[in-house]
This record gives sequence, C-alpha cells and structure tokens, in this order.
Amino acid sequence: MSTAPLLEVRDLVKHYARPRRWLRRAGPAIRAVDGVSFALERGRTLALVGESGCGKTTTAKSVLRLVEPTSGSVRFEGEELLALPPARMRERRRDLQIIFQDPYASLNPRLRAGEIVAEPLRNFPATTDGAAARGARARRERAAWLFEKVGLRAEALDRYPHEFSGGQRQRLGIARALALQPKLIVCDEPVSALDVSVQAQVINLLTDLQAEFGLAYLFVAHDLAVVRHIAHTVAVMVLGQIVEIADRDTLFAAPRHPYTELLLAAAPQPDPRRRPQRVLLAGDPPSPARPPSGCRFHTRCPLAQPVCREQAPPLSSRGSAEHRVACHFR
Amino acid sequence: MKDAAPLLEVDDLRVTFGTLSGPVRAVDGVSWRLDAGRTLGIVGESGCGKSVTALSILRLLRSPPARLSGAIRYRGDDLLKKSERQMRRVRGDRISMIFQEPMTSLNPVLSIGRQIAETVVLHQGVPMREARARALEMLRLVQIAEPERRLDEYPHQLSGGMRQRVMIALALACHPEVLIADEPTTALDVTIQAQILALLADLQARLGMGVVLITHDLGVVAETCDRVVVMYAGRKVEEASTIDLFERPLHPYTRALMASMPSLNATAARLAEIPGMVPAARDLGRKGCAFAPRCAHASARCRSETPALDDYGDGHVAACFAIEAVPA
Amino acid sequence: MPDAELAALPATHAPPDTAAAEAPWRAPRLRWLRRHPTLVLGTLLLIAMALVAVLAPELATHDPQDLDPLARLQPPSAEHRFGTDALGRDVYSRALWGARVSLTVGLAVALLSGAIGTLLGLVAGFVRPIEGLVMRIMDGLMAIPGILLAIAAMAVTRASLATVIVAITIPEVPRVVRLVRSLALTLREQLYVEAARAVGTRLPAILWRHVLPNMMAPLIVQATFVAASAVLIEAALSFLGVGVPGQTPSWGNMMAEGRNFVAVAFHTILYPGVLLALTVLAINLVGDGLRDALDPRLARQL
Repeated sequence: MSTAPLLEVRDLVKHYARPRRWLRRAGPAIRAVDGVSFALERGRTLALVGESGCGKTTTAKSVLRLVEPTSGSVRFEGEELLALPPARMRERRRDLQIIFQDPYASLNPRLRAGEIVAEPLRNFPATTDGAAARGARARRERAAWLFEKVGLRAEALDRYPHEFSGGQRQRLGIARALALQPKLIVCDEPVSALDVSVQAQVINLLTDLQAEFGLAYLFVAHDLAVVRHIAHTVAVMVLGQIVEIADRDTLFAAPRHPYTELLLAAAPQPDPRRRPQRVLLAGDPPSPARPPSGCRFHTRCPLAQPVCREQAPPLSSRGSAEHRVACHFR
Repeated sequence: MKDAAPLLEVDDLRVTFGTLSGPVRAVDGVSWRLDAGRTLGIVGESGCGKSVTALSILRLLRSPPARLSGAIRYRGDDLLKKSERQMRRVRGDRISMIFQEPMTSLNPVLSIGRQIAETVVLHQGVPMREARARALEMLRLVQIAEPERRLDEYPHQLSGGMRQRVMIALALACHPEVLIADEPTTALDVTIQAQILALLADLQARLGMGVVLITHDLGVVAETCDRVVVMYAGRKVEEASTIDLFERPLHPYTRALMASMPSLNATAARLAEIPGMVPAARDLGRKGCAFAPRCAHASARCRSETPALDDYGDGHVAACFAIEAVPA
Repeated sequence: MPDAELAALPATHAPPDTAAAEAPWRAPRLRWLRRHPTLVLGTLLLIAMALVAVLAPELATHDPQDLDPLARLQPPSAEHRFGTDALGRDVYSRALWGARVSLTVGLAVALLSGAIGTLLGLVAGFVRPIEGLVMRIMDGLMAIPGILLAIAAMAVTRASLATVIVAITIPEVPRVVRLVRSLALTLREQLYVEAARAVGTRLPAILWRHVLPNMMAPLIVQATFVAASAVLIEAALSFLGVGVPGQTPSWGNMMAEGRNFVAVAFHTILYPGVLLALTVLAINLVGDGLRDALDPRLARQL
C-alpha cells in the first residue's frame, strides 16, 4: 500500500509582525511557529500538545491556511498547499476541515442548525462520488443524514444554536466538518470547553467517525489524558517548536524530553495516594516574542547547562526513527 | 472527629432564582462542614450549583432574583442573617474568595500594590504605608519574583499564573480563616496549575486556613482535598474523605464520572459515556433522583422518591436507592 | 464567577439545554411587552402619526391649499380646529398633510442612508486598501454641520421631496458608515466567520449570510436615530425656505410662515411644533426601546 503520508509539513514558520508605532521602532516579531515539521498518515491522529503560547493552534490553522504561514512547506496528498492560488486552495478546503474549540462562538447564532451544517454543501454543489447535494431539498436530506451520524435528532434541524447544549453544539460543528467528506480534520481543542461527562461522548464520536470514514485528525490539545486516548502520534511543542515527537505509547511510557516529563508529572491524576512530588517548573513561560536563545526550554529546565543557552538542539531520532527529541542530553 | 466545632457549616442551603419561566432551584438542600486547616473539595459539572453555593456563602448573589434559605454558619454565626454592612466586614477579612478568571477579577486600572493595600486599609484601618508593606509581604508569600517592582505594575502586565497569585495575595492579605477557591486553576496551563495548587497547600499549612476548593477536575480534587462533596443538579449526592471516595465511590454518578474520564495511565477502546445531559434548569428541584434519567440502575422508586443521604460508615454518605445493586 | 451557571438558567421553554435564550420574541408575549414600556409607547405614538399621515386626505376637513384671505389668522374654532394661517388656510388640515412630508422624509432618509452607509461601511471594514480613503471622506463630511451640508446640497438643485431626501441623506451617511465599519471589524473576527471561510464560503456570501444579519440590531437602532434627525433637519430646511416647495405643507414651512405672527396667532406655530416634537419623541422612544430590547445581555435577565 502506498505509504506517502497524507500530510507533510516541513519547516513551517509563522511570525506575527508587531505593528509599528509612531516614532518607535517595531518590537520583535512574535515567533508563534518557528520551524515545525511532521507527517500525518491517512486515518491516523497526530496530537499537538503544549501549553498556551506554544503555537499548537497556530500550527494547525497554518496547515489549513486559515492563518497564512510566513514560510515553509505543507504538502497535502503531494500537492504544495502554500503555493496554491486562492481559487484552487478553496477547492482544496473540501478535504481539509476544522472543528473549533468554542462550541458557542463557532456557530452563527442567527442561522438554523440545519443551515449551518449545510453551508459547506452550498459552497460546493457539484461534489464527486455521491456527495452531490444540489438544491435545498437535497441539502436538507444530507444535513439530516449528518445529524444522525453525529447523534443529533433530525427534528433539531430547524432549531437555533442557542437551543442546544455545549456538547450538542460541538456535535453540530463536527457535522459541519464532515459535510464535504474531508480527508483531514483539524480538531482545535474540541473537548476543552465541555463538561467531563460530555467529553467522553464527543471523544467516542470522534473515534467512531475516524474508524468509519478513515479520517485523519490533527488534534490540538493541552489535556494529556484526552491525547492518550485518541492519538496515535504525539508531538510536544514549546515556544513554536517541537521538542519531542513519538508514537503515543512510547511517549507516555518512556518520555525523553525534560519538558514532556514535567508535563506528564504536572497533570493531576485521580489517585489520592499519589504524592505529587513533582519537580515543579519554576517561573512563567517566556513570551513568544522573546524566546530564549539556544534551546527554548533552557530557562525552565532542570537539566540546563551552558551549552543549552548557546546552541539549539536539533530534533533528532533516538532509539527508533519515529521517536525524535530535541535535547542535548536526552 | 466531629466534636470540634466546624469553622464553616452550610446547613440545608436552598437557593432559588426567580426567572421569566418560573423559579429555578439552583441549590436544593445542601449541607456540609469545613474544619480549620482542612480542604474540602466540591466537585460537579456545569449547572450542579457549586458556584452558586460558594457565592451564597459570601452573600454575593443579588437578592431579588436569588432567594436563600437554610443557614451558613461561620464559627456558629449564621451569615444569612447578617446585614450587608456586617457581611462587608466578613468578606476579605474572615472569609475570602478567589475566582476562575484572574483577569476580570482584578481592576485593570489600579496597580496591584494598590489593590492589595486597599483591602488591608479597609479591614484593618492601618495607614497606606503600612498596608503597602503588607502587600509586599503578601507578594513574597505567593512567591512572585521581584515583588518590589510588581507592586506598581498593572494586571495586564502580568501573565495568567502571576495574576492568579496576585488574586491569592489579595484574598489572603487580611489572613482570613476561610478561603473559597472557585475553579482557581481551570484557566491555567497544567504546569502553572501545579504551581498554584502547591502554593495553596503551602499557604494553608502556614496560615491554618480552611479551604473550600470548587472544581470539575477530579484529578485536582484527588491531589489537594481532604474531603470531597459531589454535587449534581443542585443536590449533594455523595460526600466522603478523598481516599474513600476514590477507592469506594458509591453513587452511580460518581462512578460514571470516574469511568468516563480518560486516564493518563491506561487506554480503553471507548470511554464509558454517560448518556443524556444534565437536567434543564427548570427541572431542578423536582421529586425523584435528578440522575435517574441517565442512570443505568434507576428504578421506579428512583424516579418518584428523592433519595436521602445515607451513611455508609466513616463519614461516607451517598444519596441513592440502588447502592447495594451497584457492583463494587 | 457563576456566569456559566447563571447563564445556564434559560428564560424560555426551550428543550433541555444549558444555554441562555437570546431571542426575546420567544418569551411570553404580554410579559415582554410590559418589560419594554418605552418601546411600546414609542411604537404606539409612531403608529398614530403614521395613521394620521396615511389618512390625511380622509381626516382633513379642508383642502390644505385652499386660500381664504377673509378668514386669515382665525383662532381655533369648530370650523377650523386648529385655526387658520396668514393666508386663511386651515391649519389642521395642513398639519395633517405635513405629517406625510415629515414621516416620508424620516423613513426614506433612514432607509437610503442605511443602505448606502452599510455598503460603504462593509467595504471599509473588509477591503483594507480602500478603508483609509472611505473613512477620510466620511471624516470630512462629518466635519461640516449637517444642516449646512443639506442647505448646500439644496442650493444646487431644484427643490422637491426627492431632492430634500437626498440632501438630508448626505450628512447622515457618515454616522452609519462609522457604525457599520466598527461592527464589521468586530464581526470579522468572530469564530463563525472563520468557520465559514474554512468551509469555503466566499466573501460576498460571508457578508450576506454571517455579517449582515448579526449587525441588524444596532443598525436598526441607529436607523431610528437617523430618522429622528432627518425629520428635524427637514423641518429646519423648510423653516429656512430651502426645503420642500412652499405649496406642500410641511411643519417646517408652516412654522416659518407663522413666525411673523407669534403675538397674534400663536396657534399657527403651536400645532405644527407640537406635532413635530411628538413625532421626533416617538421615533426616539422606539430607538431607545429597541436598543434595550435587542441588547442580548439585557435580554438575558432573570
């Protein structure tokens, strides 16, 4: 079977320039994403984890060109997305969809649920392989089918978003993302804003849909437990760079990068007997506008040595080719 | 064990809001106690009434829409019977509260030092200079680096974790006896969360405060609380010591909640879902167990009769008719 | 903060959910009306005025143009309910017909400036390169007092209802553009707009389906204030003699003619003045009431 990855990202960079003020020099650019590379196979899930400011959401949105990357390469099915003219990119969006974190803000409050879910179908009336939905009636049928797939009742087609709960709205977002039968869905912290009991429902839904439709997920999250459950590969990010990337089991069982270890140790676990004797990270994360020199993590790293300040360690393989770590000592 | 007088005691608290479509019973007969030097966790999902309970303690709910009944005793003194003036003396001085969103809880146009000092001046009547010194001391206590510089900075100049520390400093400036923390770390990164929780534990040990920690995160509860109250739809459904709760959860809701959480240590093919949703606000306070529609062990009795809290030994209580039926 | 929990208490009979209802029309009708007295009062008053205007031919007792110099400056009587003016014309009938002019102008200016202003505002908000140009032109227009601008516009054309409408629209447009542009800038950042882009919606469809509908509430409120302003400007123009042609009765020109006879025949100014004030008041009440009623935060009252 062809093993060319569905998505190949190489040296992705996104800098936000600071606006120039009168009589003052522009501040340093915010280096939100600073050289990120990874690959994602068909039907698999790659999770991007890290804390706020690490650039995981920006990376995911850059892949879709919802945010325009500053430089780098994003190859989807072999085609370089960053070189596509707007019209062609728009066509490509049929295969690249997104589910947002906020189930309240991502749905237009003035449109009915059915209309929201059918909007992608309006944009692309002539789709291939049986997904064609020309005309209002066909769209409505398809919307009803999508509703069923995500566990919503078809009667709800005419309701407005505010009549749904948070979990149900997130299902609407998922239905909308599915409408065009995409190959890749970016999931931007899809369960963070939901109650715990609802999170399980949505996570199960996402795994079921992946199995049924062969979807690939680029899953952005900060909750490691969720990632543990749903991801095949995990990439840990710090200040715009990947510091460790490995398949899920390896990362959780034998993490190598100090930051990954600290992240795993810091996560509260429902085990009262466990003494949280953690090596706590001191201080606050540095700002993406002024990342530390050399290794981005050295200011907070318990293993830091002078070389860490001078030289940034490259992301290179340890053990297996799939497990890559950016650290001088690990 | 229960002989010492509790520091804070909530007794059959009921909070009803008058809304356009009728009264909504946000808290329906909740009772618990907090002892000095201990941490009580209140756990539940949105709509369970945990935040409303917390706000009721400090009488921060606006009283026409909200109607409160029952008693909230601080050192035996019923707070619900106090006047607004008397409550003002309690807030910040004897009982303090910190909130989830440090950015919106701090005044953006006042410097931090000023905000902390203000509390001290108000409650303890000391001159500003001395209050500022106390503010500096508080910033050190919450482990903020370069506290002298921070005194004159504004909230927007600080990171989220630092702002939360400032909130804690503000809340503890007058050395209150009770601290109510409403989801204090939910908006923070997990590494910062760990720092803040460690800080709270440290401060509690030093100042001997009682802490009420409200959260939806069972992991946080496990690591920081001595006792846990589980709330659902405005009612208390289970209470136990933390160890007991996690080893022997009795109420089906508690068990379902724990089963549906993805874990860092194991992988399951599917997470155990809890079907359905929390009851709508207008359905709160009805007869019958609020969890029955979603419970795998519900019987006709569960739907018609409201279960009372039964004691299962060692201070572990739960409100459920089906506990014997639930496999251990 | 309990915002999440308080907001979870719904104000309607929506199916089980934890989101706040934002649509005031779903609440029980009568109670809703009682909670918005300003809106109700203003609307009733405005409807009364509109009926007067529409039914002017039926309600009038005399032909508004009918001259009767022998009966000039008569005080109100059974025959002439509001008295007569300097040329012996029935003030009552002229006042009724004057309502037509004022309300037509108010409505037309509101609609026209709304349409033009929205178009320009959307362009300014979404098309970066042109934004500067459009806004500077608007700034220039706003620097000139509205009435002067309208007078200047009337000076270059022949007076008629249509030209008056256009002349008054010109100074009202900038306010609408400013509002629409600032709304556009906010709405542009909304997550559902980003979601629409993600599913391939093109800019015109985004504007039509996502941006415009979510602007309607503040726009409508602004439109009412524009209408009130337009009615006043029209009266001022007519008062100054540069408004609608003298034959057509307008409250403004009625008051202008009556100005010379204040001492002896106050009724010639009183009635048109009172009607003008009532109309503007009604429009402003409707505007205030709508703004309160449509504000989602206020609508989420407990």
